[in-house]
Amino acid sequence: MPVLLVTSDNEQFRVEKVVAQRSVLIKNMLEDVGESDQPIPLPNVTAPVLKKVLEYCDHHQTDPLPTGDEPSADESRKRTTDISEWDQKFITVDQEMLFEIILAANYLDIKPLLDVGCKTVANMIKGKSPEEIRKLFNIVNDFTPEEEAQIKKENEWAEDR
Amino acid sequence: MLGTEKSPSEGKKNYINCLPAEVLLLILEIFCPKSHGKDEYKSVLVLASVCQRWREAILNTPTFWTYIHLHPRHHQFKMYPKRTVIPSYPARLVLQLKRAKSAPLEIFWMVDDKPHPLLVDIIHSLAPLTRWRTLKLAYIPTGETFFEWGWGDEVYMATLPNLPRFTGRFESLKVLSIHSSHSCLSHLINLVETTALKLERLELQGRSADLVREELSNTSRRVSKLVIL
Repeated sequence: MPVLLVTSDNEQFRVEKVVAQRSVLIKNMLEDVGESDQPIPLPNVTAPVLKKVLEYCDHHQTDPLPTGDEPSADESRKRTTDISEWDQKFITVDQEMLFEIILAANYLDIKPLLDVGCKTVANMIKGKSPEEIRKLFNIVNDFTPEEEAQIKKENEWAEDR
Repeated sequence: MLGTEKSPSEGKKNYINCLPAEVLLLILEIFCPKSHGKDEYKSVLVLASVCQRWREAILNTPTFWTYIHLHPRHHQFKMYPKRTVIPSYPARLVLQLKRAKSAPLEIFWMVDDKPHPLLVDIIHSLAPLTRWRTLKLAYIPTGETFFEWGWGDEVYMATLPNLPRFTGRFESLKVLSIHSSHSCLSHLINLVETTALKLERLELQGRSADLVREELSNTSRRVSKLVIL
C-alpha cells in the first residue's frame, strides 16, 4: 500500500510503504495512525532532498532494519569509514546537498543513511590540516590568542609522545 | 552533481557548522582513537584545532582521551643511553586524564626506567585502577639486576627499579598484556590475581611468560582467552 509524503515546499511523494518505513520516524507515524490515507507531513525536508533520500530508501528497501539496541553495530560504525560502491555514488553530491541529506537522515531517523553521510564527511576531513579543513568547509578560525597558544603547546606535546 | 571534494572557494556557506551538535559529534567520533598510535592522537588534536565549536565538542567528549601512555621518557632505542624525561610530562598526562573524566581507560606502559615521582599520585587521584579497562605493560628488564640489550656492536646496560606500588582494584580490567620478566611484578600480579575478576583476555610475552602464568594461575583459569607468545 502506497504512502503519501508531503515536503516542506508542499510537494507530494507517493511511495511504497516498505520504502517509506526505512525511516523510523515515518514507520512510527504509520503505526500510530494505523491504516489511513492521510498524507504524512515532513516539515523539515524539502522536495529535492526527499527525492534523494527516497532513492536511498528504495535501493536499500530489503536491507535488515537496525534494531536500535546494537551497541556493537554502533561501535563498528565508529571504527570504519568504508562506504559501499553504490552508496559512494549516491552520496557524490555537492556540500549543500550532502549536509541536507545528513540533516534529513537525522530527522527521519534513517541510521544507515546518517552513517553514510557522516563517513563521507569524515573521509573529506581525513589527513587534512586544521587550515585545510577550515577552507574546505568555510569555517572561520575563531580562537582567541590564548586558545591558539594552548593549541600550539598541545601540538608540541604530541610530537614528544 | 558535483563531487564531494570540491574546491573550498566553491561553497560560501559553512554547512557543517549548521549541523546540530549531536550530529557534528557523530562525524568527529569517527576519529576517536582505537589504539595508542601517535597518529590517531594527532588526528584528534587536528580536529580540536579547527574552531571553537569543534574544540568544545572534542574536549568535552571523554572517549577521545582514553588511550593513555604512562611512560614519561622518549623511547627511541638508538638514543636510549641519552634518553630524557619528556619535558611536558606530567602536565600533559594530567590534562589528558582530566579530559577522559570518568571513562574507562586503555593504559599502555613501557616501563624502562624509574617511574616519574608524581606518577603514583596522579594515578590514584585521576586514574584509579577501577577504571583501567586494558593494561599493556612492557617491562623488559628485571628489578635491581643488570640487563643487556641492543644490536650489533652496541649493547647497553642499566639498572631498573621495581614498579611503583599502586593501591586499588582492577574491577573493570578486561584485557591484560604483559611483556616482561616477572621478578618486578609481584605486587601487580597479586593485584591482578585478587581483583581483576572480570579479566577476559590475558597475553603474556617474553622469556618469563611461563613463570608469570604460574603466578597468575587463578587468572589464567578464569580468562576466556589466554595467549602466550
